[in-house]
Amino acid sequence: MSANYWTSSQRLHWLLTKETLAERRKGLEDIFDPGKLQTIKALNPWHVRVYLHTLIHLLGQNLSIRQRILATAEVYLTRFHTKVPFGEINPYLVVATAVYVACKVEEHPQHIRTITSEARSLWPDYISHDPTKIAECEFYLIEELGTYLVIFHPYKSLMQISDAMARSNAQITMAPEEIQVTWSMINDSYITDLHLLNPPHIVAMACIYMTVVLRSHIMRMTMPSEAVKSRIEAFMTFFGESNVDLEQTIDCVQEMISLYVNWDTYSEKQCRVEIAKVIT
Amino acid sequence: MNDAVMAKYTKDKKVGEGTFAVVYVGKQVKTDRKIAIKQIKEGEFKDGVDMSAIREIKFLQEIRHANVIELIDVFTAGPRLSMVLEFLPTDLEGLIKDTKILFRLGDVKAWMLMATRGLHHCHRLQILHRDLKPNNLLISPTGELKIADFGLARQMPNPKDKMTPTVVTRWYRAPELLFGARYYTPAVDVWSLGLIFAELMLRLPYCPGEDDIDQIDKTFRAFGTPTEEEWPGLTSLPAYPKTVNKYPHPSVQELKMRFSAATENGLELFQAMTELNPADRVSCEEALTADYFTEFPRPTKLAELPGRTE
Ligand SMILES: Nc1ncnc2c1ncn2[C@@H]1O[C@H](COP(=O)(O)OP(=O)(O)OP(=O)(O)O)[C@@H](O)[C@H]1O
Repeated sequence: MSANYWTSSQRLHWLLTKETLAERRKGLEDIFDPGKLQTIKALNPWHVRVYLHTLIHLLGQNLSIRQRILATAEVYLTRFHTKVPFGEINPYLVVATAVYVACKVEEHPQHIRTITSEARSLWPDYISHDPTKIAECEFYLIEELGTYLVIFHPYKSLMQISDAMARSNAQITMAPEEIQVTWSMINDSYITDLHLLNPPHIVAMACIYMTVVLRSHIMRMTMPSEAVKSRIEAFMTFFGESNVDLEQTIDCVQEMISLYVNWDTYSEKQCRVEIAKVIT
Repeated sequence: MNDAVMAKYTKDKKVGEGTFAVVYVGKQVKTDRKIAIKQIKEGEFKDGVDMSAIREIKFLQEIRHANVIELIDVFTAGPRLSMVLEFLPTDLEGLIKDTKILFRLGDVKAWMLMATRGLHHCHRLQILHRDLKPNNLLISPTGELKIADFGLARQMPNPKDKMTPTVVTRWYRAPELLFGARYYTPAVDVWSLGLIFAELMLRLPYCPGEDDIDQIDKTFRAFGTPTEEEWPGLTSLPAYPKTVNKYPHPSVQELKMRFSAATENGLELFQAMTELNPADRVSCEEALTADYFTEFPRPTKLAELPGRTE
């Protein structure tokens, strides 16, 4: 992990324990009246998160915004929702604003009018023509983030760890398609709380573990199973020697598995309808 | 944040105004500590928070160092964002221009040492300042020098990412930027620091170009015209001029004449900071080990530095 992470605001101010996070979320429920709270609690929280992820990526693709910037926007969104409960303000507006702020912070600024009109063309029922709506929401977002804006991502750790793997034992060199798979798993990890609970290198290690250990049977079907087994053993040796916390990594792996299990039952259309009920 | 945070500070009087902010002085109520409140101008908000303000908040929240301005707090009030900064009443430009103040060799050394330490910390965190100049080096009431104004700063990009070369106030702009380089390194800040060093010794700007073309000429006149051998790739930089005046590199003798009070070690550091080819320029880390900083006279103690107000 780069030296700057250890003194970063991400580590000093935005690294939470599961308990704190759960308490914060519980505390947020008080602001709703019982009727609304019931509608919100009826939503599958995983599905809501997948839905928001889809919104961010849709807007991002239409504006050709890079993955890394969208990842920053997603962390903003997750942090924001530890302060302001989902359902309290228009999620489409928050999504557009998070992308807008992330673009600026990552030095690829987009004009506020461009974001507004793109978001409006995607979600005309929820986004107005008026760019000052995003400007106002920007304030609110930055404030709720505690004005901490720099985000460290696992992508760099992925490259560093995979290099270290190749150096330590040729047998566990990651194939290009394995890196690809791990990379997109990291993209998916932004749907979860992992980035509030773990430093980036743990998330990277968890996704590598999933690729190399859990998916290796699928990925390497052509390899005799003895070879698969010995490769996994070699990886576990590397892991054991790496100083990366095993327990914490496995915890992340389980969170990712929960995500994929819940994703299987996700229907975008149904989720859109249910969310519409909450925010009107 | 918001009202609760705001109530922790008083806002007493306006002391200045920059491009994107108005600055007030005030106090931290609990401690009676003097502070500056930098309030981002309201007009900007129709288009969202200004990039300079975003950069300043973003970086100052990550940097904690004795020689970098401290961001104490941020609050919003109405549709306005305000930064609470430590109070730094003086800047190096003001001191340089104040002809009543005499600079001793140790004073210049103390300021250079503090500036290099602050910059080294930024570079260690992979942050480029990109606007170092005497007026962004502020002096605390106790005489400490602090790097301020991170409105142009940015994270060191991935090697493939281009950056804009139109950064740094012209007189302090490194040659690679003058030639439009889209890939550059922390060495751009070191160059600026070198030019500040010269200005501290001379009490005059060393390369005061009147426009971008004149800036190139003045830079060559002061440091010599570099060649493709000395700096491979130089002539293919995007804005390298079709014709350049050829000036010789100044000899040691020549430099001694220009900087009559400087010691040999001082000139050596100055030269290392102002190597034309950025690949040959000294890093902050190396600069900190320069003999200049350990030889006699020692850096002046804070309590004896000009510019302190306490
Ligand atoms: N921390 C501080 N303590 C005391 N005074 C300050 C402080 N910061 C700024 N000032 C005063 O406020 C003025 C405006 O500062 P600001 O940083 O907004 O703009 P600037 O750097 O002077 O100009 P520009 O925005 O064009 O770069 C300064 O010239 C200085 O007099």
